This record gives sequence, C-alpha cells and structure tokens, in this order.
Amino acid sequence: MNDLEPVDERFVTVLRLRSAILSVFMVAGAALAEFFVPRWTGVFAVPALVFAIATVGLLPRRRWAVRRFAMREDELRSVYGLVNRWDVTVPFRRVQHIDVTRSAIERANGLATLVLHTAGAGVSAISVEGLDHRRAESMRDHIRDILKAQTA
Amino acid sequence: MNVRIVGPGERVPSGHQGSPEVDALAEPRRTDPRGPLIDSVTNLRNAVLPVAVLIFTREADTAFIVGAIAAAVLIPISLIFSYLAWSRLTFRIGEHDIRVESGLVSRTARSVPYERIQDIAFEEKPLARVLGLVALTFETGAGAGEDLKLSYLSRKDAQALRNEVRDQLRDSLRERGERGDRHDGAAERETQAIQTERALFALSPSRVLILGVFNFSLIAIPLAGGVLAQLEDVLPFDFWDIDGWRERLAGPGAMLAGMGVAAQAIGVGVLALALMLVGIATGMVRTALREWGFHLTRTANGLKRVRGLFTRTMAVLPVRRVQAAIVSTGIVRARLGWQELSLVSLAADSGGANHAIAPLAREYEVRALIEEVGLEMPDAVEWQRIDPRYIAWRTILAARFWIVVAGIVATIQFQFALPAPFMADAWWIAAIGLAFTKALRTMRALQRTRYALTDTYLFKRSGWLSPVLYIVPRQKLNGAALYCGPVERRLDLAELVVGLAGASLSVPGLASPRARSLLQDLLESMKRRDFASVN
Repeated sequence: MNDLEPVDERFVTVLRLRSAILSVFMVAGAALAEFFVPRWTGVFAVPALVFAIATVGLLPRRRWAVRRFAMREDELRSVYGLVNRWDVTVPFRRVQHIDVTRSAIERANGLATLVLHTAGAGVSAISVEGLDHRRAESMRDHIRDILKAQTA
Repeated sequence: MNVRIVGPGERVPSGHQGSPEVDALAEPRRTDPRGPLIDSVTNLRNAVLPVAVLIFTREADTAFIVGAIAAAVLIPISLIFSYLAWSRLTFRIGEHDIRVESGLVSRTARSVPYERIQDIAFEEKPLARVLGLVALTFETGAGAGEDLKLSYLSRKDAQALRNEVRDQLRDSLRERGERGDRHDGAAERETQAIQTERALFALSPSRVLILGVFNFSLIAIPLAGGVLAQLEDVLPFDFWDIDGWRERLAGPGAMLAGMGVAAQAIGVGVLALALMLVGIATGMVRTALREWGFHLTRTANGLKRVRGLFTRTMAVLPVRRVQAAIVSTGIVRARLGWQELSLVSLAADSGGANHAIAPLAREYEVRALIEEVGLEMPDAVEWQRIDPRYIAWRTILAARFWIVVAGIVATIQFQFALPAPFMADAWWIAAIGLAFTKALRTMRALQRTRYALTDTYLFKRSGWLSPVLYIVPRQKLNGAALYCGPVERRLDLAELVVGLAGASLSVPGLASPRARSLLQDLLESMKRRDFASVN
C-alpha cells in the first residue's frame, strides 16, 4: 500500500536551523582548537566545516525527502532516516495518549510533532515530525475520535 | 504569548490554544500556585550535597560566604524556573479527553482520552502534605514517567477533579456499554485478597545455594579493599606496608621463593582457587539474602511472589498484565538442565518490567508455570532461520574491533622499539584470538537464532551456549517497525522490531519482502482488540 505522503516542506528549514545551531558550536570549537594547537592547520577546521556544509547545506532536503507518513483508517505509519531507515506503524487501538509537541524552532516555522504513545518500551511511541501545526492538531483530534468510536 | 495568571479553576483567556473545535467544558485551569514552591525545594535538595561539600572543604569564615552566595544564587533561580514552569502549565477537562499543555520553550500538548484511563491515583509526598497538596496521576498503563501527572493540587481540588473525571469515565463507559466499576482498581484488589492461594513453585534451600554458585561474584574483593582502607587506623599494622609483609612472611615465604617456578605456579593456583572460593561464597550470600524462602503462589487474579532472608519482599503479578515470558539459562546451567523463567509485565505496583518468577527450575516446572499464566511453549511450530548473508556480515562486524586492535599493535611493534614485554608476538596474537572468539560466538548465536509466527504467538530463540526463548502473545503487541541500516539495505534485508509493554523484541536478518509480510500480519492481529481489553 503506497499512500505515504511527504511532511511539510518547511521542515527543511527546521532541519537546517537545528544543524546550524550545532554547527556554530562545532565551528567555534574547531576555531579555538586551531588557535591553541599550532602547526596542524586545518585538522580541526576542515572536518568542522565539512560537517557544517553537509548538515546545513546538503542533507536537510534529502532528509526531508525520505520522511513520509501515512494516516490510515486504523493506523499511523511513519517512515524516516537517510542512513538508518525506520518504518514504524502503530495501530490506533494501542494508543494510550497523544502529544503535540513544538520546539522553539518548530514554532517559528509553524510546525509541530505528533507523538502517539502506546504502553511500554521499544516501539512504544510513534512520532511524525514536520507537520503543519493545524494539521497535527486535527490529526490528534481525529485519532482521539477514532479511539472513542472504536471503543463505543 | 500573553497569558494572564489565574488561580486553579479560573478561566484562562483562550484563543491561542488552537484546538479546532471549541469545547464548552474545556476551560484551561492551573495547578495550585503553591506547587512551584515544592518543586523548587525538591530541586534544591539535589543541590544541597555539592554545596555542602563546597562549604565543608573551606575554612570556617569563607564557608559562611560560600554558603550565602550559593543560597543567594540557587534559591531565586530555582524559584523563578519552577514558577515559570507552573505558569506555562494548563490543563483542561474536556468532553473527550484530559488535555495538558506545558513547557517553557518547547511546548507539549498532551491528550489523554477518557477511554484510556485505567486508574486515578493520589500521591502525597511529605512536603506537599504539609501544605495540604497532592499529586494526581491518571494512569494509562503507558509506563513510568509517561502517565499524566498533575502536581500539585489542593486536596479539595484534587478530590473534585477526580470525581469530575470519574463522571466523565462513567459516561464514556456507559457509551461503551460496560460496567462502570471496571476501572476501579480497589475493587479488583479486594476480591483478590479474599481468595485462597495455591502453591506453584518454591526454591528449596539447596536450590538457593546452587543458584548462589552460578551467581559467582568477585565484588567482595574491591569491597574488602574499601573496608580495609576504612580500618587502616584500627589495625595494629599498616596493611599496605609491603616491607612489613615481606618480614612477616620471611619464614614460609622465603622457603617458597627458594623453590622457584614450580612453587610460583602453585602460588598462582592457590590464588585462583582462593578467588574462586571467595567468588562462590559471595554469590551464595548475595543470592541467599535475596532469594531465601522464594515461593510463588497462585491467587485469584495473579501470581504472588515472596522472597528474601532478612527483608521479605512481596510482589503481585496479575495474570492479565503478563506481556511475555522469557526462558533463559547460563552456559553451565544449560548443561545441567537448569532454566530461569521471567515474565514481562506492566503491573505498576511491582516496579520493574521483568520479574523472575522461577530463578532456578527444571524444564517441566517452567512449562507448568508458562501454562499457568495462560501462555504456551512452542511445541509444534515451524522454526524459521535468519538470512546467512546477515550472519556473515554480523560475524565480520563482531571481529572488527579486535582485528583493528591487532593491526595497531603489530604496526606499533614494527615501527617503534618498545621495552621487551611490549614487543612479544603474544600481544597481537591474543587480539586475533579475541577477534576469532567474538566472531565465532556471534556466528553460532545467529545460526542458532530461530523465530516462529503462529496465529497467536511470536516465538524467538537465540543464543548459542546459553539459549534464550521469548514467548510473546501477539495480542499484547503495541506496535511494529522495520529497520534497515546501510549494509542491510544493500543486501535487501530488514529487521523486524515489535514493541510490547515493558520490552521490545527484534528479529534481524529477514529478507525484505518476508519482513514486510510478517509486519502486515502482526499489525492485523494487533488491530483486532484494544490495549485495555487485553490487559
């Protein structure tokens, strides 16, 4: 069944900003290291810059492109990961509670993450990042209504 | 966001909460304003020890200044953060769910549908009690830390809230056509208490001692070292004075030294024997302390386990709440026909998820216990193997680390002149040997790994010298996933991961199409029943 849909494109920006914050620290650290360790020019700066360019510039769009989800009649499926690929499915009947979380970066871009919690460990929660906030909330309400209807 | 501060039960100006449907009943409320006081005191308690250390390592007059500064900085910070966290937390008792919105920077809106609430618990910690506050927890069986907790509310508000939620629960239950008292844990517990009990399994004293031998432990040695260090001032001689020991041993010791290599070998043997005896004794004592008088009885709803020598502990495990069974053993135990049975459970009152219900048992005893809790042994199932290419890759992966170590050692020996002991070939040969052992163990373990899917169970067997068997009833599964890393993707393989309350189980090295059909199959059976109806 291939009904997978991509997440909001603004998620690319979220990924970029997240990586940018990390990169700033890494590049600053590398600059300090270059300053304090003479002779070995570039040993710290080059990897840090490569990391920054890759994670801020090149990867976000590809990471967004592999991220997919499917909201079905009775289950939610989430597919993600560029290198380590995960394909997680949780049936609504097993959901205990539902979170809509928003980090500062997500909020600035009007996005949210939907998390369905089941009981226990392992594949205990499924999350879909990069959803439009309204969409995430309507999905939440929809799932909640399904739970109510199913147990009725 | 401009949020006006309001008291509990008062209305918070709405509009920014963003819920598409306006819920008439759902007015946002706050927890008790005295809550942040308790939170900040709790947080400060964690800071007391480091600050105390800081103070006591100073001179008396600077100690006061350090303490004052620490207090002047930490107390306001803690108060401010607790207050902000409190001011950013609102909850609503809606028509369909309880909603809690929280978080200073990252905001989380948690929704717990009434259908999913299993119990409502009051918690009164000493400090909160003084102020007449309680924490109210709505248990959903989602595991520790993931339940919905409102801390703190005044006792009156909490009671009112509990009644309010109970009414909602009853309404939602009536809609479902079920009895309203099903969610009342207390009633269940009462009926449980009156029932008579039947003995299922017990550890005899001799079994406790046998188990002790297998729980061999050398923890006593560093402990003894620690105790000796404490006793230094009391002992009539300096324990660490090597010359003194030499003198004391001069008589027999000199004779030993004179006997040369043979005597030294004997010495090493004696030391090894002594270590073993200490290890076994330690294992026995530790095991006896924990397992003495172990007995398991069957009550109306579940299993009751009592054990312990000085501290008797009791745990009750409702059978409904058993999620899976794990039969394990050890390398030596397997040869002697001993097994261990533990159950994965989501019983909140017995702590952790894994409960040993028969630490040392014969196979027929394990079988009887498994049947007692309503599970089955995999007797007539078709065991499936995992993909040999996966095994090959994992074997290489297992050897990788020690091969690299061997390479580095050999290179260093080749490049640099080191003192004689470091130049021996034995070093890199040992690393290669370790690589082989690890590779062999991984390979054999994966070759022995089997899984089987029946209509009602997922079984998995793994391990080489000490095999483990997992028995997972399919209806208890909560979710499933496929995982594949870069190498697996190239080999068109996937790993199936299933989650159940308190544990997760994975079957690696499956051909992708096979993995996908297993996943579909498992999801179908999960959708048949609700979590609440099977637990």
